[in-house]
Amino acid sequence: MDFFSNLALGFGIALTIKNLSFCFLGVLIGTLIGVLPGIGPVATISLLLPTTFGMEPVTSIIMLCGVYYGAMYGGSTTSILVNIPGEAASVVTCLDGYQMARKGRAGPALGISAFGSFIGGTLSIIGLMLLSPLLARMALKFGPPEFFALMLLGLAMVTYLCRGPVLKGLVMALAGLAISCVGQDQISGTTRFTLDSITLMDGMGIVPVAMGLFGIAEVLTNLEQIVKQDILAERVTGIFPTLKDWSDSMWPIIRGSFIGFFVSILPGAGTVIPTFMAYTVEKRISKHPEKFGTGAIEGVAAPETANNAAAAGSMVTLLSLGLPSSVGMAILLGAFIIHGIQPGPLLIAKHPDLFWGTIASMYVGNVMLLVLNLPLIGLWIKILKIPYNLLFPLIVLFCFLGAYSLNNNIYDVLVMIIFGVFGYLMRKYEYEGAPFLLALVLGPMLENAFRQSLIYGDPFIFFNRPITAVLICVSLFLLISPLFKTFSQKRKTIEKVLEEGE
Amino acid sequence: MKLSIVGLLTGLAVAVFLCGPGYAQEDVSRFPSKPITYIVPVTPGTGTDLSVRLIAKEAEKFLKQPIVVVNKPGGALTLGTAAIATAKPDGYTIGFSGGPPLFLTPLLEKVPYDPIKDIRTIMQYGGFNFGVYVKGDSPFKTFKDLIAYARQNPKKATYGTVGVNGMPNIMMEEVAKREKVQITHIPFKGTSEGQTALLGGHTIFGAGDFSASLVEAKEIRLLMMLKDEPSAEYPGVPTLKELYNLPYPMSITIITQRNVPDAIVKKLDDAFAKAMKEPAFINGMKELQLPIIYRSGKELDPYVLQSYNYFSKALKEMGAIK
Repeated sequence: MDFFSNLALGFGIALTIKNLSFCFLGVLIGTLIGVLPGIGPVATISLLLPTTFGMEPVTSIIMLCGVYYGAMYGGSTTSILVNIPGEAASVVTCLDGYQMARKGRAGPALGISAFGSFIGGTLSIIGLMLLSPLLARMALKFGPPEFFALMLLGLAMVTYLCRGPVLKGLVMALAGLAISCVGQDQISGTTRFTLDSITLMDGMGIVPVAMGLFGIAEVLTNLEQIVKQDILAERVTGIFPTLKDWSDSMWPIIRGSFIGFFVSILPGAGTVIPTFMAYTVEKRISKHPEKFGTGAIEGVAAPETANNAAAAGSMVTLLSLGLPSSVGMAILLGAFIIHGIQPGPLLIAKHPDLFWGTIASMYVGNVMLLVLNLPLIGLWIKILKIPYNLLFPLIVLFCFLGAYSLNNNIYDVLVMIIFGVFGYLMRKYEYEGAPFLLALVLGPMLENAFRQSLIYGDPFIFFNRPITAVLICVSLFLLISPLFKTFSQKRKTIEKVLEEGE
Repeated sequence: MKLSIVGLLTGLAVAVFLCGPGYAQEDVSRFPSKPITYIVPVTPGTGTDLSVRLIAKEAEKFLKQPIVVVNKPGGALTLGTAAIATAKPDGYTIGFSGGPPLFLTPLLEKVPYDPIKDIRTIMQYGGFNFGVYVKGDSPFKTFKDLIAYARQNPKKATYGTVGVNGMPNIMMEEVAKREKVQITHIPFKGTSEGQTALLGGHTIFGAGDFSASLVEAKEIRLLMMLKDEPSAEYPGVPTLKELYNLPYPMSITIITQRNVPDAIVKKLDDAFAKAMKEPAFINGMKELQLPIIYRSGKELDPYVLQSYNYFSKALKEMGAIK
C-alpha cells in the first residue's frame, strides 16, 4: 500500500544520524524551556528560527517541531512540584498535580504525566497522519458564531473547575472577563483601561498573571504558615505510578488524547482550551468528583495527555491548508516558508519527503522524550527536599526571570507581583485562581467572536446554525446542572426531615 | 587639512562626550554595538512578516549584530507602530511599516503617537501584492460579478479584512459607495483568521493580504489587485487603479523613532540596501511573491506626509472624519 511506503520513506529520513541528533536537540530544548516558567515554545522557536537557515529544510522542521511538542512534556514539572505553571497549557495540572506532590505523590504525578504525554502524543500523530485533510475541512465549518459557542462552552466549564462553591467560581470568572477587557480591542483598535501604559495595550499577559496567581501566591501563603516540610519530604514514596494509578488513569489518558487532538484542530483553540476541557470532562464523569482538586491522578493524567495530543492536532490545519491555528503554528509556518516550502493543500504532493519525514520524526521524538523524562523524575523529586528557606527565594527568583524573559519588559514582572498579592488575598478568602485564568484566556476570543457574529445582522445566528445551537445547549446544561444537584439535595433533606417528622 | 578637520571633530566629539550629561549619546561610529530589535506589527507567518525575517537575516551580516524580530500584532497595526514611536531614539529599535498606521489610522483613531513627529523612515525594500479574493469554487469570476451580486443582495456580500479602518476596509467601502452597493465588513485579528473564515464559507470575499500557496492550489481566486501598478506575479488580474482610479499607496518600509540621528539612519539604510542585493533575499522574496523596490528614507518621508494629507482630504469627503 502507498501509505506504508510513504511511512517507510519518512522513517528513512527521520532515522539518519543527522536528523536523529537534531530531533534530540529539539526535544531536549523543548523539555528545558517547558520546565522553565515564562519562556515558552513560541518565543524559543522564533529565537531558533534564524539558526536553522543554513540547514536542510527537513532537518530544521524536525528540530523546531521537536521544541514545540517537547515543551508540552516539560510544562507539567513545575506545576506539580511548586505550583508554578511552566506553560499556559499546564495551568490545570497545578490543581491536582500540586496536591499530589503535597501528599508525597510527586513521583507518580510526574510519571503519569510523562506516560500520558507519550500516549497522547503518539495517538495524535496517527490522527495527524491519517485524517489531516479531512479534519482540516471540517474545522473550516467553525465560523465566528461557532467560535462564540465554543468559547461559551469553555467558560461554562468554570462550574467544574472549582473545589468550593460554584458562586465563588463564577465571581472569579467574571473578574477574569473584566480584566480581559484591558488592552487594545482587536476589532476596532480602541484602547481600553490601559492607563496610558504601553505594556497594558497588549492586554494582561496570561503567563505573568498565571505565575503571580499560582507561584507567587503559593509562596506568600506558605510564608504565613509554618509548614512542616519533613512530613512532605519523607512521605515521598515511589517514582512510578502504581497499578491502581494506572487503572485510574487509563481512560482519562485515552479521553484526553481524543479531546486534545480534536479540539486543537479548531483554529484558535490552541493548547490551553483542550486541557481545561479534558479536566472538566474527567471531573464531570468521575464517580468521585469530590476528589478532584485534592490530588486525583485523573486530574493530572487527562490534561497532561491533552496538551501533548493538542500539539500534534494544531498542526493539522497548518499542514493541510497552510493556515496556522495558533501563534506557535504561525511561527512554524514562517519556518516552512523561509526554507522555500509553502505549507498548504499541495504540501504532501510537492514535498512528500518533508511531510513524511516530519511525521516519522515525531514518533521518534516522543520515544526520546519518554526516555529523557523518566530518569529526570528522580532528580525533580529531590527539589522537594530543598529546605523551604532556600526553595522559596529560588521560586520567586525563577518567577521574576520568567516574567521578565517573556518580552524583556520589567512591567510584566510588576503585573506578576500585583497578581501575586491578588492571588494571596484570593486564597485567604477562599477564591480560586483557575476560573479567573480560564476567563482571562477566553475573554478576548469570546468578545471578538461575539462581535463578529453580530455583524452578520441576524440576532438568531447563535441558534439557527446546528453546531452553534448544540454547543450553546451543552453550555447551558453545564451552567444549570449544579443547581439541580443542590435542589435534589435540598429535596432529600426536606424529605428526610418530613419522614423523621412523621 | 582634511585630517585636521577630522581631528578637530573628533576632539569636539570627545569634549562633548566628556562634558555632556552622564549619558552622552553613543559614539555613532561604533553603532551597532548590541542586538537590534525589529518590531513587526503583524502576526508571525504572514508574507510581510517573512519578508522582514528574510532581510533581517541578510542585514545582520553587514551590521555585525543580531537582529531580533519581535511580533506585536493588533489594533490595525497601531500597537506595534506605537512601540516603535515610543522607543528610545538610539536606533536599536526599528520596525516594519506598510503605511496605514502612519497616514490612515492616526486620522481616524486616537493613537498614542504622531506619525509625522514621532516616526522617520529608514528605507523601503519591497511592495505588496494585496488583493480582493473569493473562494476557489465561488461563482464570481470577475470583480464585476461580485458587485452585481452585492447589488442584488444588499448587505449579504460579507468580506473579511484585518481591521476596521484598515486600508482594505476603507478602499472597499469607497468602491461600494461608488457602485452604490451595500457590503458587510467583518474584521479579523489576522490574515490567516480571515482566510480560514473565507475557506469555511463564513465570508463571501476577502480583501488585503493572502497566502500565495492558496492561490496556487486554486483554493482562492483573485478578482482584483489592491495596487497602483499591475502585478508581475499575478498577470491578468486588474488593479484597483485600473478599475476605479483609486490610489493604494502601500509599501514595505523600515521605520524608526523620529529623533534617531541621521548618521545612524544612514548606517541602517546602507546595511539594508546591501542586504537587498543578497541572492537569499531575492530568492526568498520571489518565493513569497513580493516585489522588490528600493527607495531611500529621503524620498519616503515626503511620501508619507503627502499620503497623510491625501487621506485626510479623502476621509473628510467620505464623511468618515470632520
